[in-house]
Amino acid sequence: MAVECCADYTPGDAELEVMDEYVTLLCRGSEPEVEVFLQGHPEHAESLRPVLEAAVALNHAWRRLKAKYPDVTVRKLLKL
Amino acid sequence: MSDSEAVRGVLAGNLDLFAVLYERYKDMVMACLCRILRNWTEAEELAEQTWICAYEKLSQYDQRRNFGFWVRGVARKLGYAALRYRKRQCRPIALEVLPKGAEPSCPGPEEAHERAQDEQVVLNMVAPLPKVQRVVMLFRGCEDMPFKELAELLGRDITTLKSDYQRGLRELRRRMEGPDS
Repeated sequence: MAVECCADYTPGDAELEVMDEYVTLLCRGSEPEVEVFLQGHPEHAESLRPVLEAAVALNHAWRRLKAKYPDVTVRKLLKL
Repeated sequence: MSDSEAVRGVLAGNLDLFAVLYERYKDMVMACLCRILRNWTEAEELAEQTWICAYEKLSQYDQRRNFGFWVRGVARKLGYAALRYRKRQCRPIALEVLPKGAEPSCPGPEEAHERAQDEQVVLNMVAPLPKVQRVVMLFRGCEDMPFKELAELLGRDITTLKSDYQRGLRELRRRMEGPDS
């Protein structure tokens, strides 16, 4: 699936809310299937599918890191 | 519930909410003290003191700041004070009293290198993005920091940050597809 670069993409508020709803679930460990979640938001499915898949990929990478080093934090990672 | 809400609740008399903050940051406090003291038993004792001190001084905490950062500051202050006291007493570091398998996090060069490589895997995912997007991607997508808190931290509008986050994810997805996509 090819996804065009987002440089000129401006999402609407509703779409951002749906994205945030999914990310909140993801961060809190419930991790619903992207396709199942998008069935509840068919109007945003096409646009949000690649976004949510990327959110899952990043979150999984973070969880693997956190599992190995429980003291890791984003602040440490970014050296803030 | 955000840290600020929990703090406000504790200050208003709901002491149970202090347990929420404790659960969120107890590992971070312990890791910080282990790094300073390199002694698990001492770190445990000082972690307890840290939380007592944090509770007693909670009214002095500036709620615009990150609570984790603040409580870690309390731990660091106590940790370095204990370290200075220990040096004055010329007391050897009691590594032999460490419980088996519970060594503090004071990695050697090989472990530090391995950790840096592991951390790089996550950093590489967001590396090509502008700085604000990187920060938003990691704080929101990994640590569940609410956009409201992020907006305060970065001094930006929430909607702009949400857009930044979505743009960052789109770029990440594009890179997952490969350079030719």
